[in-house]
Amino acid sequence: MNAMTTFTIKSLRANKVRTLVTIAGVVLAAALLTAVLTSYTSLQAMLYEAETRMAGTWMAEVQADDFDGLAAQAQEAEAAGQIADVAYLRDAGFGELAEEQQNYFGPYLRLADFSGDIETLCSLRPSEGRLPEKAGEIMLFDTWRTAGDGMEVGDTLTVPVGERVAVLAPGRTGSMVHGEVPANGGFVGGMEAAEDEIAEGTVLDSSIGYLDAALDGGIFNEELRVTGERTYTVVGFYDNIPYVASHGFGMTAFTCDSPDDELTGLNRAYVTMAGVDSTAAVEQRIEEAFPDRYAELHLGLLRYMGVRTDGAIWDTFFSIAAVLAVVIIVACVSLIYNAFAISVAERTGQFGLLASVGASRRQLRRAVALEAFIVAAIGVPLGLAVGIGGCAATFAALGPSLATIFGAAEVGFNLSVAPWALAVAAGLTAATVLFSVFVPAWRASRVNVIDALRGNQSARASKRGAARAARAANPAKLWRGRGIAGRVFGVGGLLARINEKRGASKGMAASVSLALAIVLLMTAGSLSTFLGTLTKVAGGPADAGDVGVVAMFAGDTTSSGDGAEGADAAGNAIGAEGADAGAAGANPAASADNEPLTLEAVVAARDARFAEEVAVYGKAWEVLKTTPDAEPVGWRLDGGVPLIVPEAMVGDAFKADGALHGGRMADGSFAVMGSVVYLEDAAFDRCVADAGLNPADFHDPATPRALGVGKAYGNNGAVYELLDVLTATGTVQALTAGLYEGEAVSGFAVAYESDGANGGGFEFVPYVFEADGADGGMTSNLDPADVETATTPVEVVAVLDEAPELVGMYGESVQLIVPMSLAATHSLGIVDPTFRASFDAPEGRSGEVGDDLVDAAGTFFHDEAPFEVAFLAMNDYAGDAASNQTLAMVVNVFCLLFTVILALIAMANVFNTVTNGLILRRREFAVMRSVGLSNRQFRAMIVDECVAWCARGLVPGVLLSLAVSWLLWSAVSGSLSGLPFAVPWAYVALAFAMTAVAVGISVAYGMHRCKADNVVEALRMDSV
Amino acid sequence: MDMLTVSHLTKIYGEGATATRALDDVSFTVQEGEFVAIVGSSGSGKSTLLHLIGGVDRPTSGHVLLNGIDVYARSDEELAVFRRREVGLVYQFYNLVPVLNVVENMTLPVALDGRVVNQDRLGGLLDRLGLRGREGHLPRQLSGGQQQRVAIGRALMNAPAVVLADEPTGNLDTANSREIMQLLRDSNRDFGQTMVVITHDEEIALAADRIIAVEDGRIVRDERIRR
Repeated sequence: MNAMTTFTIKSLRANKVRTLVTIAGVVLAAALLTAVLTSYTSLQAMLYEAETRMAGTWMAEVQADDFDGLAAQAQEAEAAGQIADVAYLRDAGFGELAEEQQNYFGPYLRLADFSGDIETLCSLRPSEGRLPEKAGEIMLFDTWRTAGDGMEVGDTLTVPVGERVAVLAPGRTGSMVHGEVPANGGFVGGMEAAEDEIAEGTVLDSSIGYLDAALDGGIFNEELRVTGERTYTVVGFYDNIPYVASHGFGMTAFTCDSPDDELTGLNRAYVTMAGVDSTAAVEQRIEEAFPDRYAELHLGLLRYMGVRTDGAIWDTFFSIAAVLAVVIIVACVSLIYNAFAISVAERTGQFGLLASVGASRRQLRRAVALEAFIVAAIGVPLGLAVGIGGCAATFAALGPSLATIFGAAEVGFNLSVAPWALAVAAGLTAATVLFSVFVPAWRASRVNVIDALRGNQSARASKRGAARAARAANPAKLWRGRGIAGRVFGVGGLLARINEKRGASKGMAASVSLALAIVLLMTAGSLSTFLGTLTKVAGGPADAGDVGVVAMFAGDTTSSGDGAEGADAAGNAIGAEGADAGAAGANPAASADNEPLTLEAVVAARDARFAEEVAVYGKAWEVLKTTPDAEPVGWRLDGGVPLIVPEAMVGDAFKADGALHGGRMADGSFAVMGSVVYLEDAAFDRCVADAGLNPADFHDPATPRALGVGKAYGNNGAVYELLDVLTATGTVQALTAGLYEGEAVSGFAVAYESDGANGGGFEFVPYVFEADGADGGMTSNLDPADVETATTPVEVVAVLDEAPELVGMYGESVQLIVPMSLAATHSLGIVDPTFRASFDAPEGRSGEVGDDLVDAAGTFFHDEAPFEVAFLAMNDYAGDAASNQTLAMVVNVFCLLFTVILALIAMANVFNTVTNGLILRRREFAVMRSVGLSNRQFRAMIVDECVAWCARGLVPGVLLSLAVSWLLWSAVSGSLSGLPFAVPWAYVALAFAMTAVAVGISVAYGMHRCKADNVVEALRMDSV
Repeated sequence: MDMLTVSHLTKIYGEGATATRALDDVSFTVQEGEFVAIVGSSGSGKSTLLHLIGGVDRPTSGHVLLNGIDVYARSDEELAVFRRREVGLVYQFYNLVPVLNVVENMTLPVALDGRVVNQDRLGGLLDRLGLRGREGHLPRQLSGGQQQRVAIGRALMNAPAVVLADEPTGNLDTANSREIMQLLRDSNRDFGQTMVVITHDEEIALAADRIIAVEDGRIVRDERIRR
């Protein structure tokens, strides 16, 4: 061990506190980098696992018409090591399905013959039974067990099988080139387009999607040319849908060892490879092994393998990670740099001494470098361990929640440590240490021997300081006119101000670390604010109860045509909105007699149908109430109703430009697309009583009375917020029906007519829906002047501030609440209302109870209801709330960890610079005290200096942190539009407070050190 | 009249076995206007003695009376006031504040005391110390001898009861040393300024009225050589 080494080690030992703070800084830096990278690799590993479970481990799919050629190439490639494993899937014809079966399974039963390890490569796993093992065995999709007559393992399936043939659509001629459209954009991307020429009578293989000219805009339809019949024994079912099983023309059934004559069409080879590190490498191997074959890459998997990185979500992820990484690195560099710079500055005298006894510059540089090496050698491994340990602990606590959030509950979120990540973290930290050491080392090597030995600290004054000092030489002006500092802090303040103006360093290091502290804390704050907003947006308002059942019957004359289409068809209308009330159902024109239709008859028919549906729903409610574990909360019906609202009643939401649900009409009243909720009587009466009114007043069929909800939750053009929709009581008119040339109109859209007679305004535009077999029907708008309309007055007796619990969330527009008893006589124009029933469920079982409720409802409607069910579903509010809570918890924990670590770095940095800045000047302080500076004056001077540092640090700090916040906001808003940019003021305040506390503690410690020093000792420090 | 009375002054550094007796029961008096040199070898305790007289350190036991007032009966805050009014300190390494210019360094004790600078006295000192034309210079722009003259100016500015100088020429060449000693001598003669100078240089000590020799924390010799 040479002298310099000994010297370095001794000096590290002698300055234990500083050495420890420096090592702690390195540990923190390495730990934070390791944690960020390990979180990333763990996430990637989980997503990789999830992807292989979902889609299999195949990396590329090669398609070929000749199987033998494909298999030969694959065999050769496997022998040559170009591919690691291969599995095959071959078209084995298409089974014909009955019309009813097509509803469940798609147009055909696609038959596919597999060979090879299809379970691993393509993630084809039986959920029940097993994979086929010999010819004549088949595995079906799980739906086959329950749909139709049901199917069990061991059953026999006999199905007509044939080939798909292209048929020109009526009135079309010619042929077309059908480019391969990836089944799922996220899954697969084409290396090159496979093009198939399609003409009349072309046999279609499984690479060509279902042809429907009306839907895909092409000129061909298709049909199945049945060539025979096959019988299979069902040996298993699968319930996950891997890529290989999912096609537009139906769910795939898998078989094996089929005779050659059944294997017609396309053959696919799914291959895996070892030792590829880029998409290009995968492509190249495929081209070498399978020249001129069409292939697709499993990009989802390649991405998670780290072979490929792109995509919208990843862009957001990476830009957040990049911003954080930059902040972390800057923080770490500053922490370590400060520690070393101070360490070297403090020992300027020692370096002078060493230089005077013959140490070369190189030796001095190496002394500092050795110090860095020792610090890094201890700090980096410790940091890696702390980072991995922290991740392990965090993942152990949050793993299940994390996995759920990323939709990979069965895979689980486990710690995955990648050697490259550790290498990067270690390398980056070491580089940081080296950089931090370079400047101080260079400075140390240039120490002027004489200056250092004389302890000549005059170098502390800057050049400009000398000029300023020269100007201040007028004895008459001595110690005067130095502004507010002098008045508040006395001579101490004056000294501080002089020091600030003439000093070379001006407490720059302290100001920089203060600015950095603000940036770090605000970054953490912004991150948690924006992520918090994300989780809140994801949460949304909740309905009453733990589970809800939602159902709707289909109108009896048409099967589709909802309000949205009406709005689209309104075309030129700005802010048009379709009316749910518009289905052409309950139209008496369907009756055979030719009596001219009257408005009264239309209204009467709608009321009658509505009453019928309500009766059915009432019974359904009674039935659902008996479901085990489902605690009934209440039920309601709702539907959209066009409302004419007097100006005195409407809130600002409709007076603003660009209101989505209505606005001022030419006559001054407002056209509003509102909704009416029929609430079960008991619950309704409670609401009325809560509002201080008499329930009995609301049940008179002759005069419909309602409660109005004053607020709605909607988008005001920029952000989601509560809007004023209804401000006063009064009577609104519900537009219940319209008659056009003797036929009932389908509904009304609210639209803005800019060329109206009175200079423009909103109005209700009636439209009719024309069922047309050829293209699925369309709507056409009618001139309001040609349509006779019926209205029903509804008196709004009270305006509630918020919707009653059972009504759940705020609507998007005017919401009226009426008692269910009114449903017997008034539909208010609603055709086919939406049924909503809410139940509570035992904790954690809301999903199961919801499924039971839907099953019960389905059975009841199937057996008892005279209507076709258009829609039946359950909402698992409790489950959603739980997963939102999980997400919020995970986000909060991450933000908290991040904040704490950054706060630690920030505080350590401030402490380091401030205390050391003071300690370095202790001889100067001693001089002042020896000539009579009192403790009070000393404190005043230091406090004044601190105020100056803070002012200089905080302003740029806040500006810089606003920039960082903005960058984070841009990253987050990339995946969530409409998120407003907000300055996290709470965190600004917190950052200020924490920084102030850190400065306070640092100064207190620094002053204590300075005072604890005997003045005599301090004065003697001038010698080495 | 006794300007300064030092009685039974003892200072022990450290504790127990490692305790060092830097001063051991030292007593002497200094008359107003006297120029005293304290000599002794390195580590003899002479600097400790000076710091104790100057009120920058506290003794283990014993008393220092300046103008009949016990220095160490004062609080820290009073001690600071005492230092700036009654004591002028001159160090071997000048100990000027690097960011203050010549006149600011010289008048720092006045400013700390919150008093108005006596322009006549400042002007007189600048002339006497040969610092005219250098009022706005920062310490690093001055030579060692000039810096020491600024330090002497600072010590004299308040017309303190006593000027204490700790090896004031220790860092200077012979010519500068002579010049500094002459300045101190002149101040003593012209202003009647009481001076206590620590030195290990017998030649310099001979400029004083009286030489006190300290060895191992005790006074071994006290002789008047002039007056």
